[in-house]
Amino acid sequence: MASAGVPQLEYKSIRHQFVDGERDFVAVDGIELTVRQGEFLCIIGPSGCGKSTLLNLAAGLIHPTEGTVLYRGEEVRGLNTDVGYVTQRDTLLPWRTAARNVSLPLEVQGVPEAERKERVEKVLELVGLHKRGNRYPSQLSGGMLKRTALAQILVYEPTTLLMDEPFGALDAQLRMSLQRELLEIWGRKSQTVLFVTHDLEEAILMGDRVVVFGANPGRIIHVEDVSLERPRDLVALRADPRFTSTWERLWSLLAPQITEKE
Amino acid sequence: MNTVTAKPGSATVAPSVSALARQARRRRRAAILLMQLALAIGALVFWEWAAGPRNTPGILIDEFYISRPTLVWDALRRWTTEGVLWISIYYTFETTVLGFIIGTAMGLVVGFILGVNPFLASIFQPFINALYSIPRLALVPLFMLWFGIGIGSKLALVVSVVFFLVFFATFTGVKDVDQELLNKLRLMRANWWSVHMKVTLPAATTFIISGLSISLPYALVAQVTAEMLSSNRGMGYLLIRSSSQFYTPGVFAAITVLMVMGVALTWSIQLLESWLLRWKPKAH
Repeated sequence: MASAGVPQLEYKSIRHQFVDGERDFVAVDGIELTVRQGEFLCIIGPSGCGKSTLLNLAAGLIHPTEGTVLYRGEEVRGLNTDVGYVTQRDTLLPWRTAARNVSLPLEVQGVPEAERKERVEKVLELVGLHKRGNRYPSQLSGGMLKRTALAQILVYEPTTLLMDEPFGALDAQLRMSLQRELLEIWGRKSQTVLFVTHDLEEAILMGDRVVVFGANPGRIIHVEDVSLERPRDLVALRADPRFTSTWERLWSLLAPQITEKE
Repeated sequence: MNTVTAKPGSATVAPSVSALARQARRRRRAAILLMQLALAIGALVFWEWAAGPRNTPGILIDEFYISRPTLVWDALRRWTTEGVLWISIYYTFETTVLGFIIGTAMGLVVGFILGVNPFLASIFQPFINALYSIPRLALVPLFMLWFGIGIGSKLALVVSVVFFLVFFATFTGVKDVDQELLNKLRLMRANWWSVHMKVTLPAATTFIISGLSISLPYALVAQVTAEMLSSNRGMGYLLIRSSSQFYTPGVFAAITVLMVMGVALTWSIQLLESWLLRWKPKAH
């Protein structure tokens, strides 16, 4: 365990380029960001602005063209196996049932079967899928797939959660109940969360801080401290003047970015 | 929650519609089966009626060339009483399956190793392609030299046929695996072995199973050919012996038995396929 003083994650003057056919494409540039230990950090911005690049850098799936990524004070060189990554794309194994997909990380980490079963059952119940555990991914709806993917990461309790629009495809009610569940889990386990979303409301309601991204190239244009106390009542807060004024202010920063793209 | 409320509604309509559809399908299947049966029996009856001794009135085809169903049946019964039929079937079947298993195992291992090692694959690819282009029957004399005219040379021929087909299928399947899935497992701290056992191999199964179902009939072909070229056992031997004695019913009897064996083998691999790929959504 690192001491409380060490930041969980630091992005130091990051620039990342992709080779896109013949041309170089700058995904993110000039990223300076420190993620505190145990923090719930939301990242918001127009699509294609490099938000996911930030998560891929944290996981060590890619390495920056310039600058360094530090995880608990150490440079991320290989894969960062301390993180659990809920990717945007559905990456469940189609030949495993939902329950066996969720138990996958426990299997590869050598957790005994009895304990595995118990933990899988608990987390499936948490995401409301306990009756669908024996279905194959091809038999699940889009929302159920998302929830299974979430359960698969929650079940092994990684220290840092990277989440790329995990609730994007869900209907409003389910979305709200999962937001509540996630906040509750996070409150109990004190994990660090990097949460990418395109929903400003969600970002403010969930986050300790909201990082606003701009496009072309992807860059941070604002970091907002959300002063709403915890635990949060996600329904009541929507009418709270502190929430609405924050929303309006951030929206005025975000809107030009979105129109600029189109 | 309209997605949830929509489901019970559609579920109450669904059973009657699907029941009707099921009934229609069943009826169609029965009709097809009936037609097939009629066609088979018709062909056999025509064959029996049209064939007969040469220069007999009312006979269309000389039975020396095409025999007759009753004569074929007699041949099978004769072989049974002589005790040669089951032994031959067993010998051919055993060697085919054994060669198939050995060839499959080798194809799986080599295909997997080269599939996960692009560098090794680039080195070996031209050699494997060259070996693959050798007409396998041209190797029979060599195999007889090396392994004798017993079971060894037959196994070698079957293995040489099955290996390449399974190898190419496995290699393609393993290369085709989604890198994102592999990374996901690695992020979960899976070691090399678990990554490949839990993702690569199952992901390649669709390819591997098609390699198996293509190579199994070829395994039988290779085995029977080897028996015809040099053997004193097996269905291929019975076939070539009958033909050298101008015993046409025997030739047809051997061919019939081989056909049944081929169907049985294909059917067993389909059974394996539907079990291995049970997670796939059904086509209809």
